[in-house]
Amino acid sequence: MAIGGKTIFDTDAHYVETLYDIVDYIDDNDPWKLKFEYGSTTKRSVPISFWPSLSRPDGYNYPSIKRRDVDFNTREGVVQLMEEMSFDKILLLSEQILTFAMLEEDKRQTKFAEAYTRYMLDKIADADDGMYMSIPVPYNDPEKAADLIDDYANEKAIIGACVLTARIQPPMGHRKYDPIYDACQRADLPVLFHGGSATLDNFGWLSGFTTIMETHALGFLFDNMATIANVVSQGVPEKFPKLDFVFQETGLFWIPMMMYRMDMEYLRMQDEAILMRRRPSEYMKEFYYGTQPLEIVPDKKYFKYVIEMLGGPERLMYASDYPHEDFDDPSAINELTFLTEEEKAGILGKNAEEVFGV
Amino acid sequence: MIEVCKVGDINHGESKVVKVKGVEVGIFNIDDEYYALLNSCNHQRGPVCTGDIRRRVDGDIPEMGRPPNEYFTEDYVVICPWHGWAYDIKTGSHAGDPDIKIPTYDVVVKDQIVYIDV
Repeated sequence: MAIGGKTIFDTDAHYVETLYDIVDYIDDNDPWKLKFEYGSTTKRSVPISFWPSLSRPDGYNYPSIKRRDVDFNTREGVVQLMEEMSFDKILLLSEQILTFAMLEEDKRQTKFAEAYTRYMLDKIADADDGMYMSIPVPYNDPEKAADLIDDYANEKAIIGACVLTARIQPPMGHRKYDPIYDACQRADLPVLFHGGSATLDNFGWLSGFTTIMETHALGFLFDNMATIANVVSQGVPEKFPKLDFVFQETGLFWIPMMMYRMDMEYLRMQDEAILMRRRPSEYMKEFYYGTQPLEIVPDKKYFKYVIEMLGGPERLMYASDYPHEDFDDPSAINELTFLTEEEKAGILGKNAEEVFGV
Repeated sequence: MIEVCKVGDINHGESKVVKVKGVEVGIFNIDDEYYALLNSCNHQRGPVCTGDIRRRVDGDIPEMGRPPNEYFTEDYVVICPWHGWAYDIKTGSHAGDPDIKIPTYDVVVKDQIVYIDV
């Protein structure tokens, strides 16, 4: 299905499950089964606001793409999408993981993550067909999260552990999350940091806004900026040196800004970050970044300098974010004409194949 | 070699800035050994040798889930008073990035006189 001879690996598409879909994967004697049964059978996404807005008439995050008639809630829908988009491989992320930002306690996260993982392995994910999945990490209970990773990391279809970075406090550099990183490192499973906070009046970290345009622009960015600053400063890459980190759904321009802003701070305060052995930018140049959503710029030549500053095209992985409306088509990468064909092939598929080992 | 001070003029953990051949140089006494650095920070040319002097802080990788154990090393740094860039007094290397260096000068102590080679 490749495009122009290039393998296309979409590293971030949301499988749009509901709580009701996964209820059969909770034990019958578990009261949580009833809670999940009460979950909506029709709403396939997460609430943005009680009040509708012009961009979200029903107050929900999805559906918003109307360009394709794909029901992204079935295995057939995933196959149809892959054929239409010429995706050879796809890494599916949970849709309901976006609600993790709203959950203060831990059990909803763990119950959901366990049931979702079982459901996806049973019904949807299939390594032989290039349909991969990530474990939604229930970070509020790091020990349970590590157990989940230990239990399922050997499944061929599981190729990552996804942390929804919206409003995680303390952020993901805190030592309480060490068991999660330890489990991922032992399993050779990359950690995916995926931004995700954006509702009508706030984006988790800050409130007082009145448009999703504002909160969507800021929220995802804050999520991953807070995560990258904290993970690097607290020495997570030093504590877990074999672990790969992938930052998703924040575009590209923020990366060099954080690299060189953090370098400036580090060079005058490095004795606060006692586990760091190098400049922040040097760690960040070893991370990977999903390309979506590519910023809209007056001239695509600006991407050339941004990609050079963040460590080169080998740090990047194409991501669609299907079915959300800030979706990127693979042509968005092919239109970066300053890239060589080999570099485009790397971003569209080969970099991810190498990192995820598929 | 040029005379810059006498032994005893600078106490342990202190410095003195002298001007030699038009160049400002910081003379440091660390455990009665003398060191000399150019008094110009690599960042924005601040008077680095007039800054605070203290031992460098470091830490080891902790056990899983535990905080790092912070401790003072035996190395001393001088901290530029303008922006806080810290340099190892013996090597002139930035404490966070050894590729950033300020020039050092050879120091000789003879007959209770401290000389530097500028």
